[in-house]
Amino acid sequence: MSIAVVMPQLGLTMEEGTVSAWLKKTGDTVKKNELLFIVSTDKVEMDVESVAEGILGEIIEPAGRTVPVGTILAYIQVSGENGVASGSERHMSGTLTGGSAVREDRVPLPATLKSHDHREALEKVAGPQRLVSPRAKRLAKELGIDVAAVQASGPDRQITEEDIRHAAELPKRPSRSDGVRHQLMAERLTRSVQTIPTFSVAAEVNAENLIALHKSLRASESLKASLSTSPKVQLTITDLLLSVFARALKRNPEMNATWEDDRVHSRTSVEVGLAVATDKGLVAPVIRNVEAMDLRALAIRRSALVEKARLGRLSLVDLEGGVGTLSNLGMYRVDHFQAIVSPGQSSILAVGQIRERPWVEKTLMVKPTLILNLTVDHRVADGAAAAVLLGKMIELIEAPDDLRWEPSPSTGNGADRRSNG
Amino acid sequence: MVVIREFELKAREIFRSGRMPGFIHVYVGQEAVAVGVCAQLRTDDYVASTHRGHGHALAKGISARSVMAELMGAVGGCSGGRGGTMHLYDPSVGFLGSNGVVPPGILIAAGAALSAKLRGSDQVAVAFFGDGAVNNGAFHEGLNLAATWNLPVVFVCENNLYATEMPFDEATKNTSVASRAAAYKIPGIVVDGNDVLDVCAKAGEAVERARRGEGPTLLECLTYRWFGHHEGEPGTSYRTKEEIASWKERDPMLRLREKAMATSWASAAEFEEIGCEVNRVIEDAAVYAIKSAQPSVSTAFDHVFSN
Amino acid sequence: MPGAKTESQCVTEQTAAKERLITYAEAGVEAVREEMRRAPSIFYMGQGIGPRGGNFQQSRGLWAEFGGERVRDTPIAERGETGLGIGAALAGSHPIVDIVFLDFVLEPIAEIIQQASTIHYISNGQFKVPVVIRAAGGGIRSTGPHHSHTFYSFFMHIPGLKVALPATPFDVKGLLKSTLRDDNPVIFVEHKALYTTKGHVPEEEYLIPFGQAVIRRPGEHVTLVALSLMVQKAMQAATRLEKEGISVEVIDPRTLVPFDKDTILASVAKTGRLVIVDEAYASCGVSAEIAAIAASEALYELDAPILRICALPAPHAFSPSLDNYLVPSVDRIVTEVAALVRRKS
Repeated sequence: MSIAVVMPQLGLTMEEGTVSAWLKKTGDTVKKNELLFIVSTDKVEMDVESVAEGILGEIIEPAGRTVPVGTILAYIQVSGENGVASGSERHMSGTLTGGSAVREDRVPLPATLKSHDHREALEKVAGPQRLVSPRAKRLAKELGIDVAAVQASGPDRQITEEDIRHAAELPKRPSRSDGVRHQLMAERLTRSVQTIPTFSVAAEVNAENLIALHKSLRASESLKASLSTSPKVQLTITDLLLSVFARALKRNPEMNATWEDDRVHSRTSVEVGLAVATDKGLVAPVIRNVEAMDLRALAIRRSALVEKARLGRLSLVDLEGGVGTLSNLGMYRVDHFQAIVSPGQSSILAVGQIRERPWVEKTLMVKPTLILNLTVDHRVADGAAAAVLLGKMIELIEAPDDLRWEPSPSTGNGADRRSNG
Repeated sequence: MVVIREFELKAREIFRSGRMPGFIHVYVGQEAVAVGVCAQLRTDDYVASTHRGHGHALAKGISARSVMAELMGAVGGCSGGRGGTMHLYDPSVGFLGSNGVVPPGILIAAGAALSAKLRGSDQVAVAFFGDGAVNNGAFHEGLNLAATWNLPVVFVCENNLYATEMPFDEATKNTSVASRAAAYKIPGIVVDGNDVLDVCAKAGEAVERARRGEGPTLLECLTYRWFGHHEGEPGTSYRTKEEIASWKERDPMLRLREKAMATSWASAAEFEEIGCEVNRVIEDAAVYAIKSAQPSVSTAFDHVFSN
Repeated sequence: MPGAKTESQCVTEQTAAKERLITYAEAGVEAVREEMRRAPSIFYMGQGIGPRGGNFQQSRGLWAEFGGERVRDTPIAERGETGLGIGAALAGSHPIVDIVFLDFVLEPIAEIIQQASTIHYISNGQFKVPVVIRAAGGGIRSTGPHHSHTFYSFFMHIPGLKVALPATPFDVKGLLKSTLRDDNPVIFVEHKALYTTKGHVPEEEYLIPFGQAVIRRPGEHVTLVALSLMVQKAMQAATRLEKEGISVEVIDPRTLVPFDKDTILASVAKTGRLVIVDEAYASCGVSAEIAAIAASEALYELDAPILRICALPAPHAFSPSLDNYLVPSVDRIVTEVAALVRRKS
């Protein structure tokens, strides 16, 4: 028969070891207690003797491999006559079952150690009792509920918070598993603020042309026709801004990059995230190849992602890979704000409400304006680069002629080529 | 020595008047040991002492006022009233504390010596302890470590023949303390603990050895306490009156006086003068201590932790 | 402390910017090494901590770097080495006394409690006692009755001692560094079974303040406070309980003195149920102290009796079948917590 040679347990905390050398080779005769191999661990090098007498068979784990304690390293063929394996050798042959996990018996605790049935103990002393938890008592008092009238629902007939809430027809305590999400979000944002050196550039932009474009596109027949199959989709100012941001990034390759592994990684296409508020918190799904999209495709895509976000169905893929994010608080009474760059990205464009504000162009006028605040990872770009990007966006917003609803017939995709730099 | 003697007598007086909290262990009869050893130490050398520590504290340089006030549990005491008689502390003179438990002082002194050695300083540490400590594990561990690591410490055993009420010869078969030094291969020297000049000389040698980096020494100072183990314990149930009387005849102060006058080193008048001065100091200390206030309850949680 | 940051300012376990996996033992060594480089007053003594690098490799490489004066092996004399450590601390040094197996802390316990914990107070603040008593507690692979103990409740009992109980490599490094900058006596309790576990530890310097618990896993239905190795078991139990619809909040106090009770009480106010898992015995243990605190300060938040899952009251048996039964297991935690939440006795 064969006796297994295993990686021995050589110390309290040893979990794995390496055979640093075999002192015998396959076919050699081995005597009991003769040195067979050398093991090294993080602490020691030790010689290991053979536990049996016989012929060394195939070496399964050659020198140099690190294996867990108990792994079979080789077999020794024990000869029939003078080398019969002893009873204990046979028992020890084979691997140790995983670590020191011993299946525990389900032995009931001795009676003296069982915790009392509270009711029994109390009733012996104080007569029949209604057990009410302190928390339930407090809540009942706060809500003005008579505990005596409340039914206990649990098997122990103790009245708990749940019973009081039920009696008061209150909903169950709100689940705060968004507690986890909050924590994760907090960690991401903290990490961002701690590790990304940022600065911001801002500008107030005359939005009248943008508004005009939006209005005209919304009214256009071609739009209505092409959206007949996606009735829920509407073209929004946000879509226009997404397109503006993406095009500006495409034209400023320096800014279409992120900082990773201690260097700048440039990109060719532009991936932009859009901040979406859901009732479980803020998420920012990413739209790919935005610079190449026409507004129709963009609006459909944006709409789909926002829907997914609101239903809590965004996947990891949906959330990764953006170079920058657009965060629009324009639906609130926010003039301007500064946002936090997402870890892994290099910019975030924060946009406030479009409002009529004083505007000076030789004389004082009133115009609908929009305040852009662009926050940038300083490791990727400096002030000038950011300013240029901002400038391009301003240009596109103030003169948005290039933004097309549909791809021009000749090109078949994106209005990219129609730009004038 | 006079200071210590008068101090202790005054302390007993105050204690017996019922004004002093706790219980005290007076040093009367053993003054020569504290004085002889401490005379050889610098201010920055360390001393760790025992429950019978007033003598060591005064000899090392803590003022009589400070010690007396501490005995009263008053704010003006060297430990702010928090330690009392058995827990006198003063870092400014290297006094690492008297101790309610005796053997730890051995370890504390050795530890201070270790610190000095690591810091490259030539400070020396002294541990005072009684015959009662030499059968304790800490004695063995402390002397062994000090010897093995060659620490600058002097171990001074005040063998007054009794540990509380247990006679030394009933506590151990080997009644020679000095001989135990051989177990650690350090010098073990017997000293006449009632002759301040002998103490001074032998302590001086031991201190210099340590300071030179030659390691520890064990001094066995043969002496005797006149009173009981602690105030209120007469000390006569386990000792004969004859034995006490014979040791009183070997009063260290009397012997010094005799020697001094025989060699004309000092005159009777000078001794008179010293006596008066000391009385004044002790009276002043007593008044100060009795009048000194107890610490306010608002400080009860100060110093549980450091900052 | 130029350059050092507290955890609130710095990276946390989850957000370590340069993520590096090292073992619990290595994290401890790093902490000691960095601090010994910073402060010449720190020295290290204990059995086998010199050239051998410590029984658990907890001092590996230190002797080679700092030499035999500052990193010194001691004979078997825990009382002696602790007493000397205390004396050295009084004279201005900052020693680490490595007792190795927490069980052996019973030898010098008199020195720790009578001397180390009191001297700062009874000397009226004149002496400080910056000594660290370091040891590994807990059982692993049937270490048996003299090598498995988890003595920390009596240190928590005595005023004047600080006690740390790190469960992760990140915590070991941060807490041990803080310990070596603290002027108070600190009992630093590690766990044998944790030495080879790996965790994220930043290379850059950070300290973890004492008295700051960590919520290892947020939850809704029950607060589970776990100590040392039990944190791992609690986390495994929590994962299994989640599948049964029970959401468990696991809290690791990290230090016993100072003790962060606020985090625990806030959690109890949220969940209404408190469970404590401790490898030590229940009677007069830390679990009893936490239960007492909750009962006196959060009584009206409790919706169910407080449950303590501790070592059963028998000496540590050697045989694995007994050892595994007596010490809290993941199975036992799952069963008992589920019963508590479902209100079945």
